[in-house]
Amino acid sequence: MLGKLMKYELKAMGRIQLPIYGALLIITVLNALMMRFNLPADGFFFMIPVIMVMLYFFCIFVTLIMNTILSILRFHRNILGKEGYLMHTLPVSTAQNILGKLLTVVLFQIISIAAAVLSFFLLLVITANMDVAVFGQAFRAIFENLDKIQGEWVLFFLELVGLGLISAAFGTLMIYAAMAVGHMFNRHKIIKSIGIYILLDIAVNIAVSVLIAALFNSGTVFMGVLDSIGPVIQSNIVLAVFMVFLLIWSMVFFLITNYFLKHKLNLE
Amino acid sequence: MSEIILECSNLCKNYGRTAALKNVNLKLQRGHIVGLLGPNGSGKTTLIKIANQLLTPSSGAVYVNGIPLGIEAKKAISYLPDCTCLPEWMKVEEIVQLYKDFYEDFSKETAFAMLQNLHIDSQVRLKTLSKGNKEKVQLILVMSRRADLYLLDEPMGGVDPATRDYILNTIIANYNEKSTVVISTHLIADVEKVLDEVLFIKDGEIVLRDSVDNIRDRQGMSIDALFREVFKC
Repeated sequence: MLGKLMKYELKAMGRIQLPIYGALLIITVLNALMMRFNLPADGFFFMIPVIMVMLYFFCIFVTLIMNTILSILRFHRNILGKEGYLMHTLPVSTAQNILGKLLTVVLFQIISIAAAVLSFFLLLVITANMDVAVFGQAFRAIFENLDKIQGEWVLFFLELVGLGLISAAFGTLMIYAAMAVGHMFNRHKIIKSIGIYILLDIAVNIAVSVLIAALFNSGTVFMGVLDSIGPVIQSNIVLAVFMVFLLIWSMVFFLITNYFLKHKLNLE
Repeated sequence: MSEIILECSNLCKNYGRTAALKNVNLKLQRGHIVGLLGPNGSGKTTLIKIANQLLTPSSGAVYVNGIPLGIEAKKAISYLPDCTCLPEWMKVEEIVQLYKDFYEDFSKETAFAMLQNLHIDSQVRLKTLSKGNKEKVQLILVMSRRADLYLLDEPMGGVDPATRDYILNTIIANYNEKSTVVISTHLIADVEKVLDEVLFIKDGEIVLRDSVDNIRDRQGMSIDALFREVFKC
């Protein structure tokens, strides 16, 4: 059932996201060609390169931000709005409904970032007429040098990826929780949702401060342990601590969202 | 398979200090077409929403097929809400496929046949359809399932008289002894010819429950006339 929910969520989000990726591709190629071939920029035409570059950065901005905007709109319309009459009466649990949306949002987050990064590389490759093989050589060189440090760098990069994924889930779940709680009020739901989001944000920030004070002050047992081990393993542990922190908060927000959607739903 | 398809036990729902449902006790058997009749604000939609798990009761319990509400209950119920609730960006054939994906008892063939009968193009997006046609699509999806319990909330609200007849004929055609259809409406004159049982609900309480035959024979009046008498302003 989760797969089926994701299928329709991918369709719903994809119909907006894919044209954006397409527009980014077109703008990237146009900009790259413009820079590669030094098109005439005198007289009337001098504005064109400026506009093209502005459009490029605008497209990058939209690509990176659209996912968050869509995740809010989809939750608002499909879970808390009229479409909720369909979604909440399908033979699926509330948790599956939330998870289906969450996993799709995280997936598109990965794709959006990849699209922005690929756009940059494409710009480089076309503008400088670079051979793509150059990148392969550069990556191989980086890996060879990294191997010389210590083995744990693999874990480090894996943790970075994990942290990225958990961050995306954490951020989305915080929005969902705020919207689910705000929905239970009869009036001014949106403003109250924003207010609740701010409160949740404050709560997380306080928790981060407490965590850092408890663990990362010099003199704590934790710092003692860290001081006695190598730098890469230090980063491994620090990243792991933050991953667990975000994971716990993600679960808290998931439980809040699930509870309010299950017990306090009141569709109009 | 329980003989009692829907049971409400001391069901109460309060919104703040307002009681939308007051101690509703109800047992509906299989194989009936039941009219849930009452004026606006009497609690019809609240009762239906609770059965569909769109609202949580303040107290009391609801059982579908003898089991408490949960995912199995959702599988057993085919629900037509009072509003158009389908994703507007989807094409008709896509929403048909969605129903097929999620409901094992859904028949695509039945749905497409009904769409054709009502001259609705399955290739168009829902947002391009008129309000009446959107409601028809919703009804077709609901009636193309072989569910144990159909809960239809104002199924004839925004449609023309010819379509109302089509809807009622579809309900009768889909009738089988294993299912129960509950029609919540205040358009009683149109619907009473298909009903075999009626529930009158007023201010959150069931004030009358009887078979249509009994009412016509004993009281000598139509359901519509009895309704007007019971709910006189």
